[in-house]
Amino acid sequence: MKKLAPRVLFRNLLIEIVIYSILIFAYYLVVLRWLDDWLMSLFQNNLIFYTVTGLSLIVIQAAFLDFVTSFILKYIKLDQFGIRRILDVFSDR
Amino acid sequence: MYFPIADVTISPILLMSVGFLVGILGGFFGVGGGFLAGPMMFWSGVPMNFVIGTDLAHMTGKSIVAARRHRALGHVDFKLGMFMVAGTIVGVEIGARIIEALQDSGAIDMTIGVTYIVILVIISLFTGWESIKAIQMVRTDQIDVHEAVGFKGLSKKIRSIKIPPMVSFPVSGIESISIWIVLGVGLFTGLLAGSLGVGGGFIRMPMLVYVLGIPTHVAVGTDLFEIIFSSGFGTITHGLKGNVDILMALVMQTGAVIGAQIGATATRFFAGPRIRLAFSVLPLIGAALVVVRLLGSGMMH
Repeated sequence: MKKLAPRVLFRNLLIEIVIYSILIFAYYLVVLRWLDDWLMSLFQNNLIFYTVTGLSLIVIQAAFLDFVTSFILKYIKLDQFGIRRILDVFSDR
Repeated sequence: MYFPIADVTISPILLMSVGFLVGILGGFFGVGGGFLAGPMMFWSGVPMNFVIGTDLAHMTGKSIVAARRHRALGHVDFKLGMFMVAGTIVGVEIGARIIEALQDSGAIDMTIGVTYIVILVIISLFTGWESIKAIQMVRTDQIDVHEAVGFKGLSKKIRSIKIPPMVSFPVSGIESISIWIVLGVGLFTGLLAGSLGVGGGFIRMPMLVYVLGIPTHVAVGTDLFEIIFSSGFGTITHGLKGNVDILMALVMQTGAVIGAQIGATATRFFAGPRIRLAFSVLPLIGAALVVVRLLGSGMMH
């Protein structure tokens, strides 16, 4: 069972990347592309506030994305996905 | 996508990909990845003054995620990390002031560049030699692969220095060590980082293994924990000078986060000597990029 762990992990990560890419694309469309004007006005008017806000956004986004990736791995039951059968074709089990 | 702060148009997919690549390297080796992300951003068209600051900003977020994953695996020594942070920040400040003082002397780029190349090549050769020796020791002496270090002499001597106060780091397997040694290692790596203009993960990770004698996995996790503070500090410094494009950093971070998780998780499946052997290639890449930069600036002049 232990020997299988890396392959299972790799498979789960592969699925995670696909799901994550879709979510990130949605996140980009809904959030990131609308931030430019607001950040630009902060940058031009108050560099201290811009820096503090920027670092806060980085930390908040890191926590959020960490939660998303952990959620995908832990709570979406990857083993129940039909894709497992497809991936099993490529495994040597 | 147009980034108005840096006044440049770059594909967000390219930025995410750069973040993803350096995220994997960062999570696996405990380095910030600035040596790779910096040139890639520059070649993508990001103005030079925004390259370092923006890279540091995305590094902060990526290191948070990678360090969290390493913490879950038991690879982060928070106590050691905090002591190292104190030494590193002082070292970075001293290094930056040395650079300011040397700037009048003229050929500072060449001096720093050559010093950087020499240090990186030495680290690369030494880490490569040691890890191969450790792998051979595992095969011939039948020792536990997790304990295999081909060069333990220095850390033994360092630990025998008894200058009070002495501290212990149970997570790293250090029963007793002088606090001044730990602060000194932090100061030294910070000094090099501050004077060479790099994050310092290249230098810190091998020093944690060979000088303090801590296991490779803990060195990687603790280094990432420290990078959160050192790159966060750098982000503030560069941000106040107007050299950070936060939007660009946020886009890069979306790729870096998943890469960092993959890299951090992958360390579970490799023993210390293998990680160090793979690591030994990285400083050579960094050195090659500096050579390219120096040749490029030489041609311009």
